[in-house]
Amino acid sequence: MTIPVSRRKFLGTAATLAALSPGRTLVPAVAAAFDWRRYAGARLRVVTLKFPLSEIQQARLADFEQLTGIKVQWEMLPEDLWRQKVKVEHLAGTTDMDVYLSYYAQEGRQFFTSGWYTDMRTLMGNAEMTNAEFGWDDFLPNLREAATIDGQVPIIPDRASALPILYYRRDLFQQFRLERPRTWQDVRSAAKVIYEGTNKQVFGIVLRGKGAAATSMFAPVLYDFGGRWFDRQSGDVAFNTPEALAAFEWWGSTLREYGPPGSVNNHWAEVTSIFSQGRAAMLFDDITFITIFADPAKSTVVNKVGYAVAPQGPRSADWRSLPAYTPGVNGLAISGLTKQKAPAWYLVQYLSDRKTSKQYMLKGGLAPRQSAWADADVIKTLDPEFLEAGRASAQINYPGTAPLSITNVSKARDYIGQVIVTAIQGGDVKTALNTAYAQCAELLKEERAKKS
Amino acid sequence: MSTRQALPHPAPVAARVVAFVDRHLSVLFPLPALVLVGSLMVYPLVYTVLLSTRRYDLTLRSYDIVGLAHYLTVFTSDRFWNALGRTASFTGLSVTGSIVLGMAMALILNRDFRGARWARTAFLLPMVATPVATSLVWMMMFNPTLGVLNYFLQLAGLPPSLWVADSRLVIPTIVLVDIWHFAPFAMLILLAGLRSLPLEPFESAMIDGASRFQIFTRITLPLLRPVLVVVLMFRTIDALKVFDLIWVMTAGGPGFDSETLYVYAYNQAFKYLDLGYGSAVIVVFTAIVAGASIAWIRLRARSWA
Repeated sequence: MTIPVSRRKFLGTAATLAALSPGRTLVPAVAAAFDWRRYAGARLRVVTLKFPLSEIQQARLADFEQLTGIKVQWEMLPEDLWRQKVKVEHLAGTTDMDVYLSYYAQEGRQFFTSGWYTDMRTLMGNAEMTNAEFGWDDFLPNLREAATIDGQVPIIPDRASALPILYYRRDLFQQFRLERPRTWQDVRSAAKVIYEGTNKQVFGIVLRGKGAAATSMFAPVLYDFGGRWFDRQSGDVAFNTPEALAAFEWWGSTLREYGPPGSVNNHWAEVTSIFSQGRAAMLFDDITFITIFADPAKSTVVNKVGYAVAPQGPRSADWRSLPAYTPGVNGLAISGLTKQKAPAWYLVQYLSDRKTSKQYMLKGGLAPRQSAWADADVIKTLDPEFLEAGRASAQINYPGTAPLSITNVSKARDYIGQVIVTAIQGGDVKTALNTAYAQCAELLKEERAKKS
Repeated sequence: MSTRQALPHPAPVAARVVAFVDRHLSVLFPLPALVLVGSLMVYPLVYTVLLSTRRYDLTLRSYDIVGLAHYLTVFTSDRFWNALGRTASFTGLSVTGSIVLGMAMALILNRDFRGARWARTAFLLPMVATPVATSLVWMMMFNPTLGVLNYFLQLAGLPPSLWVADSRLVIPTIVLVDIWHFAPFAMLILLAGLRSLPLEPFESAMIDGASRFQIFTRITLPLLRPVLVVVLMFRTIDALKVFDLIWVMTAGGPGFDSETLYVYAYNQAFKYLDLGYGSAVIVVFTAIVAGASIAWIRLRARSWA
């Protein structure tokens, strides 16, 4: 057994420290007294998404199991399946899904009102339940604020935010003497130059196009062009403007003219694989995917990728510095239905610790903890351009995937997704936009009527 | 009954139990089966019907009784009618395609040639493969940029196709996979049917100098009719209920262009969490499948009459 030894060693160190600094309280000793093995023998089931961060977490499970004696069944699913499963299992009243990954901006409100979350704020406040090293204060202040909903903490943030950045191929940009794009117009021109310059062998850009799945990455473009999902004051749906139309048309025509064929079926898995296979010069998508592009086993573009904060449009100044519309926090949650809240919290705090944050950052993710951002290894290892793009992105409060005054976000996203599909296919975008607008407005009206 | 003889001196209570069992054999013996069918089939169906009369919306947490309002919405929704149309064309194409192909394969395998057994096993392989796994493989082949099918098209001098990414081609493309998957099933039953046909009519036809085509249309097909109706019935029900292929390949996309009735119902119930409305769609859908089955069963009864 290695654990008692390491614990004894730790206790010894703590005692020495305490002896050396008489002015300090015995905090390290209290921390050491935290009983990790209190729930030994428990079995937990976790449903999460297959993506880089959960792979880091999965790699740490063996240590967790050894430390605590808690067994973990870890299910990593593709995005659509994960989302369905978490929803359907809660609907069915399943009690054996203890921990799951949750994206608050998408279904959080529904989950929150349905009682499918467990408040972790009370657990955090309990010294017997929480390792003193956990340190909620270490999380970025805006994340802590976003994660606190009606005084509760339903999700422990696992990343700074779901941020899109622009990935571009440095080698190709150099070859065609192009500058790093600063505006959406730059992106389009660069896409044209490279697509035509390589005789259509390399796509100018690749973006999501699979209807609803594209709305999250499209949102910043919409706002940059001067469109908006909804009116901040009244909550009314408001994306039926000429500015919004221009944004949809930009997305659709850029993809149609300089992107891969069949974009309407592309989710993030498809766009990242096209980009990592060296078939596209640019990709505007979540910052997390740097881990894929930096991995020689999965990518042929290692060391060829440059990073830029989301390019700007004519009206970017109008919204980029505004406060967040809604909590956009992503991370692990404990099901409100599980009977094993305590061991589940052990797992969540373990997987949300400084070590995970640092590893995630080293792999190119944007960690939720301040300690990871300031870490010397991180600063030494990461590409300065990436850190710069990440820092700049972390200060933007992205507008969300759909009009957030609507509760049934999935439905709204499906409606809006139709406009994106039509735009890519080169159909009548204006009619599609008006239809989606009318559908979303009607949906909002129905919801308001039912609520009142 | 022999039960009584097996228990020569029954205790009074036991005797009464035995007597009771004896008297109600016809009810008691099928009871376990009835309970099973009732709990697994009738109960969910009744529950779904009940659910369809309520506003069971988990997003808004409202559970009022709305009567038939959902059905009214179903029948006035464009998305429903579009989905119904797609279900119909999918079913028509898939059933026809798989039976024609299955028949062709059965006719080939009905002859004894060297390697016939191997060929039979090989033809059956698509049927035993997991639909979800094979759908993913097909998706890779359909990929417009990296897929192998466009490569073949180009080799043949044809322009590349968007396959499932094309709004007009998406249903025929999924039908293609469905046919690939289910033609062996049709073949299996048709082959069994062919093997069971009497030899005499064929012999006399040959003596009379009938051509192969005449033998097929005038003798094989009419004799095979009862079997064909069975295949038609199974294939129709399967095709109407298709879900896994579509869900894995396109999830109903691009946009809603491959959203069949089943996918539509699933989206309503589990994506939008509107269980009441989703149930109403399912009830309508069940009625359609049941209607189709009854029609085929009638046809089958007639073909045997």
